[in-house]
Amino acid sequence: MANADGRVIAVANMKGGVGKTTTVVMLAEGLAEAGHRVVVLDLDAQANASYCFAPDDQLKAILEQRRSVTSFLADRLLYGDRTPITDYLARDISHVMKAGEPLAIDMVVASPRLRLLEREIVLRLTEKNYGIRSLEGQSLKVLEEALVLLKARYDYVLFDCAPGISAFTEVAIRLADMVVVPTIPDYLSTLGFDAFRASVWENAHVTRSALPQPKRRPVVLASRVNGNKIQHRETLASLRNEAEEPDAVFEMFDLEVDNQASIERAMDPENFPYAPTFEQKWNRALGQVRDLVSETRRRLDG
Amino acid sequence: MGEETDFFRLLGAIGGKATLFPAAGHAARKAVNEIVRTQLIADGTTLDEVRQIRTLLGPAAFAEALDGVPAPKTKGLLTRADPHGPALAQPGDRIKALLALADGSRQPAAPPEKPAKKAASKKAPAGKDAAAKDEPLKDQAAAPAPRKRKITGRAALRVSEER
Repeated sequence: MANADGRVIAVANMKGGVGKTTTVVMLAEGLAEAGHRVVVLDLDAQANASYCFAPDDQLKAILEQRRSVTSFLADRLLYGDRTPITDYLARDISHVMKAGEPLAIDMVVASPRLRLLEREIVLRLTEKNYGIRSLEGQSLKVLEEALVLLKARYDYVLFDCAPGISAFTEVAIRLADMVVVPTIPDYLSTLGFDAFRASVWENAHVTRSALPQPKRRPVVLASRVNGNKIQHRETLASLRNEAEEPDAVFEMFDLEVDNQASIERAMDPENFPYAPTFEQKWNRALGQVRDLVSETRRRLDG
Repeated sequence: MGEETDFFRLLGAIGGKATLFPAAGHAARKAVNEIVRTQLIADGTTLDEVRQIRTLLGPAAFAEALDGVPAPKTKGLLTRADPHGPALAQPGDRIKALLALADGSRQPAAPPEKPAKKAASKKAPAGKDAAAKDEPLKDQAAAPAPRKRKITGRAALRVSEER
């Protein structure tokens, strides 16, 4: 049994294609390989993380049983159903093995309907003369309650947040002990990071938010790094300089996740028609997965 | 460095002064895994030696090294360790069987009783060496053809979840 105070990590960035899901899968499997109980909540309607853990037929079966983040949120926010989050868990979803046993990863999968759910809820609330703040407030309450249950059962709760900033992503960020922001060290990605930070951490575009402030500064993880590119090297140096400043508004991982084929390969379950071991799956990227895990733990504890 | 250098002795010396190599923790882990895997998949490695290696490393480090043996190679390793055991199709099952053989919780299967002597077969000999030699060929044959995948039409993306 996990300790009663599991840690919550949200992996988020307003920009798409920066490696959020990759980071979640690396963290989930790396933490589980290190012996921790891990649960992943997929908050992205593209269900990318869900597809990284489960094949299509398994996901289909899970969704037909209405065991997804979408169904959980719909049941709570639209239908007033108080079924606990634990009833929506897909247990032992990982096919990756360690010492002959599958990694201990449970998941609440996402589904494409999540894209429509927020609109449905807003419409429903509007009919009752409530506004968008109410959606945020109610989402906060629902996810807070869910986290109480999950933190009691797991060492780590991971949110894979959607690109853009949905109400659910906003809430996950506010509830997380740490927000990891994968960022490609190039101009557009860092621009995206700045906009994301301004929007969430500075509340630059919101005057009356019902949500609490995030618990700490965002932690940038340089992702898809190509050390041969001058642009990447220069942007990394700038990021690191800024993160070192006394009044820095973000932290930065020492680790840089390389843009390497092993990682891309590991993300595609069809490359593993058998249940691979953790070592087989991550292959040349194994060191980076373990480094990510140890630095994440160190930063959470420090 | 000359070929006569005893690298195993050097490894032992490094291990005795690990504090001199604080930056090399990962490299040491990789090196240990690489050494152990190389020996595990080597042709002549017997079950008894596999057990000795496990005793030397301890169960966790041994399992980690074994986990990193490429899936096709686990077939040859299991055949050597348990030549009369069942052929296991899933690499995960082979790892489980190897872990059990290594920790002694499972013993190698006894050879099947020989039927009355037959005329010599013209087929390739089924001895231990031949089995080991055949492995790479079998693995090549089992290597997947380039995959063609259907990009659209995933069923899970089309479930409505209406209540």
